[in-house]
Amino acid sequence: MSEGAIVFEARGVTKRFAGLTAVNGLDVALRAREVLGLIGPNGSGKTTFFNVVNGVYPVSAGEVRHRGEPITDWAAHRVAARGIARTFQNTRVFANASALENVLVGSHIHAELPLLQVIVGTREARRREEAARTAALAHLETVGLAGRADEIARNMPYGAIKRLEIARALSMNPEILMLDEPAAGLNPREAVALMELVQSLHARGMTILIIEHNMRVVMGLCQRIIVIDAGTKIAEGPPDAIRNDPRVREAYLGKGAA
Amino acid sequence: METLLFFLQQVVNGLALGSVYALLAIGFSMIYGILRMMNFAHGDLYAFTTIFIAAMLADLWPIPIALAVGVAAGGLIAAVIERTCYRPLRFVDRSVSMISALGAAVILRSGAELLFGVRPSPFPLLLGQVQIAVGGVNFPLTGFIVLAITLASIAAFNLFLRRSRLGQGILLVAQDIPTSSLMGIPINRTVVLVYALGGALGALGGILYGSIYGVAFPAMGFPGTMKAFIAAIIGGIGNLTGALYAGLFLGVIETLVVVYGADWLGMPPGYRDGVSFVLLVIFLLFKPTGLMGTRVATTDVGAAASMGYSAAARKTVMILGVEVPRAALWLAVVAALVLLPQVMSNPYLLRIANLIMIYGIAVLGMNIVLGYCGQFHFGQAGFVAIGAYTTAILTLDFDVSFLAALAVSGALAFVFGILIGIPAIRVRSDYLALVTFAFGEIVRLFVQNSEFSRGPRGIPGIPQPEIFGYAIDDNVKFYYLGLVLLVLSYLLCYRVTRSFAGRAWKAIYEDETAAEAMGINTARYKIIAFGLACFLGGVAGAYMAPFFRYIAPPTFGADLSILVIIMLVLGGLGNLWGSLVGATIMVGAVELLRPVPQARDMLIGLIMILIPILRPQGLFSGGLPGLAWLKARAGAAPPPGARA
Repeated sequence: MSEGAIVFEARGVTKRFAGLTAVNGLDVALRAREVLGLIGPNGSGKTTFFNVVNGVYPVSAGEVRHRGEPITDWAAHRVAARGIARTFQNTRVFANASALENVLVGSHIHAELPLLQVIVGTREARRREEAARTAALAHLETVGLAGRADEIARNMPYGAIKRLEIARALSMNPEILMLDEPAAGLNPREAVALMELVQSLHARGMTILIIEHNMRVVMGLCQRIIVIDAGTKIAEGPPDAIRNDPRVREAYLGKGAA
Repeated sequence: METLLFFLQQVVNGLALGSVYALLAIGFSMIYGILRMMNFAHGDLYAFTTIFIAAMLADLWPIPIALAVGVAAGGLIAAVIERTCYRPLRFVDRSVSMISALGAAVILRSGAELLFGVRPSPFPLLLGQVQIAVGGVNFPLTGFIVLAITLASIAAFNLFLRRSRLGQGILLVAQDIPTSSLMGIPINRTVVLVYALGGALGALGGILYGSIYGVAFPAMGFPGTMKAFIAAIIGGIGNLTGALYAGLFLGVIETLVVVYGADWLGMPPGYRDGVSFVLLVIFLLFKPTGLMGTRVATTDVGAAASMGYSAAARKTVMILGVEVPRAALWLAVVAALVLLPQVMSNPYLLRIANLIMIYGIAVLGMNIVLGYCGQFHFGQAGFVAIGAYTTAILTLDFDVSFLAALAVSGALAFVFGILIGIPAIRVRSDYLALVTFAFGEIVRLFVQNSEFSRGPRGIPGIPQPEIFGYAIDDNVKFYYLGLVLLVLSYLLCYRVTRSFAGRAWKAIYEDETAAEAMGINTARYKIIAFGLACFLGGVAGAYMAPFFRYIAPPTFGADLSILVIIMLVLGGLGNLWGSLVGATIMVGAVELLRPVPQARDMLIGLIMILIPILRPQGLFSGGLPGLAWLKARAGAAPPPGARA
C-alpha cells in the first residue's frame, strides 16, 4: 500500500467495564509506514484500546477496520493472522521456553499446515520448519539477541525480555506492529537502543503504533501523536504541536500548569 | 394423591442424602476457594472417620464420646495432611500438587482397609427408623432429623466465620493471602484451621451417612470427593451457602432420577453417579460460575507453569546438533527392545513388558494434552475403555479383523476426544478435570449397564489378532505387536510436539492471551490435543483387549485414569520418553507388590506424595540425571529443573 494511505482505522471505539468507560469514542487512523504514538496519563485507556482492537476484549461500541475491511470483535488469533502483531505492557513471553522457541511460536501462522503432513513428515513440513528456524534466528539477531537463542526466557534480564517480545512479534512478519510501552522499565541506555531498534524497523517499511511514556522516545520516533485522557482523544498532530498544546500539559500536569 | 406422597417421600430421602453432600461440599469448597487446591483426600478422610466411628461403636464406646472422638479425628487428620502433603506444594503447578492430594487419598483408603478391613462395617442407625404415616405413605423421620442437624451445624459454622476472630481471619485469607499476611494474620495457622474444620464437617457428614444407610465402607470415599466437588462447583466455588443448596439439590435430583428413571425408563440404578456427572457437565457448559457464584475458575496457568516444571528437556531438543546423536541413541534403544524377547524368555516378565507398552501408549497421549497443552484430562480410562470394547465387540461379534478394529477404535476415541475437548474452550483447568473425569465415569457406567457390552460380567474370549494371516498367539508375538504400536505412537508424538503444533500447545500452557496474539487458534489446538490424547488411549485399549482376552468394566475405573496421570507426572510433564519411564516404574511397582495390595497402595500413595515434594518437575525431566550432574560439574549449565 502506498505511503500515507490509511491501513488501520478505529472509529468511535468505546469500551465500558461495568460502569467505567475506559475508552470513549476514540478515532485512530494509522497510515502506511508511519510511526504513530499513543500517549496519555496512566489509566487513560491506552492499553485497553490495544486490547480492544486486538480482540482481547469485545468492543462496547465502534468499529475497527484493517485495509477497509471490518475486523471488529474478531478473535485475537484472527487479527494476528491479518498481519497485526503486538507486544504487551507487562511482557508476556513464554517464560519456560527458550528465546528461540519464543520467536518460533511467533512464526506459527506461517508454519501451520495440516497436521497429517507433520505426522507423515512431508518435505513441505520439513521445509517450513527449517525456514521458520532460519527466520527466527535472523529476528533474534535483529533485536540483538543472537547469542542468547537457547537461553530460557525466565532467566533473561528484563531488557532482553522486552527485545525478545519484539522479535517474537517480528516473526509473524506483520504489516502493523503495535508496541505497548516498549521502553518502560529500561534504563536510559537501553531505552536509546530500543529507540534505534524501532527506528530501524520503521526504516524497513513497517507501520508502527506505539504506546509510550518516555517522552524522549515518543518525540524522537513518531511522525504523529495522539493524546488521550480519560478514554477520550484530546489532541492529535506532529510532535512539535503536541509539545506546545495546552490541553496536553493540563492533562499531564493538572489544571493551571498550562 | 398417593403418587404425590410418594414423590414427597423421595424428596425427603433426597434431602437426607443431600445433607451429607452439603457437609462434604462446604469443607471442599472452602479449601478450594481459599487455596485453589482440589483436596482429593476429602472424601477418603470422610470414609476413614466414618469407619473409625463405626469401629468404636462396635467396641461399645459410649455414643457421644465415639462421635466426638470421630469428629476430632477428622479435624486432626485433615490438619496433619495439610501440614505434610499440601503445604510444601502450595505454590507449585497444580497438576503436580494434585498428585500429592491423590496420594493422601490412596493412603487414607488403604489405611482404612488395613485397620478396619475391606468389608463394609455396620453402622448403628443412631437416629432410629421412625416413620410418620401420612395418607398411607410412610415418611422417614430420619430424613427430617438429618436435615435439621445439617442446617443447624451449618448455621453455627456460619456464625463462627462471621463473628469470631478466627473465622474472620479465614474470610480475610480467602480474599487475598499476601495482603492478609501483611495485616498480621498467621497464614499457615489459618490454613490448617480451614482444613481441620473441613475434616470435622466431613466427619459429621459421615456420621449422618452411617446413620441413614447403616454402613460405612472404604470405597465410599472417592464418590464422596466427587460429590463434594460437583456440589461446590454448582454452588459456586467458595460460596458456602451455595454449597449447602447445591448439595441438597444434588441429593434430591439423584434420588428422583434413580427412582423414576427405574420406573419409567427401566434405567438401572447403577446410573446414580452418572446423574450428578451429567448435571456437572451441563452446569460447566452453561453456567460455569455456578448457581450462586460469580467467580469463574480461571487460573493463571502462566504463573503456575513458571514454578512447576522444567523446560530444560526441551532445550536440549532445540539444539540442532543434538538431534543426530539422539537418533542414534533411539536406534540403539529400539534395537535392544527388538532383541529383548530373544534374551528374556520368562513369560511373566514379557507380560509385564506388554503391560508397560499398553500404559506407555496411554501416557504418551496424556503427555500431549496435559504435559504439553496443560489441559487437565482425567478421563483417559474412558478412552482406553472405548478402544478395548470397540475392538472386543468388533472382532468377537462381527468378525472384523484386528487391524480394522484397531483403526475404528482409534477413530472412535479420537472423535469422542474432540467432543470432550470442546468444553476446554470455555472452562479451564480444574473444571476440565471434572468434566473429563465425568466422561470417563459415564463410559464405564455405560458399558457396565448395557447389554451389548455384556454389562458387569465383561467380555470373555476376545479372539487373538491375525494380521495378514499371521496369528498373534503368544506373549512374544504380542510383544512385537505392542512394540510396533508403541514406536509408532512415540513417533507420532515426537513429530507433532516438535512442530508448530507442539509449540502452540506449550504457548497455550504458558499464556493463552499471548498465544492468541501470536495467531494461534487456541480453541482449535486444545481440541486437537484432546483428540490425539484420546486417540492414543483408544489405541492402548485396542491392544489391551486381545492381550487380556477378557475385559470388564472395573478395569476402566477412575484409578486407571489416575495411574496414567501419576506415570506422566513421575516421568515429567512435556518429556516423551519420561512418560515411558514413568509407565515402567509404576507397572513394576504395582506388579512387585501385587501379593500385598494394601501395602502396595500405601507405597504408591507415599510415592505420589513424595515425588511432587522432592522433584516437582518429575524424576526424569531434562535428560538422564547422571548426565545433568556431569554437565553441571563441567560448568556448562545448571542442572535441569533447578529452581531459578
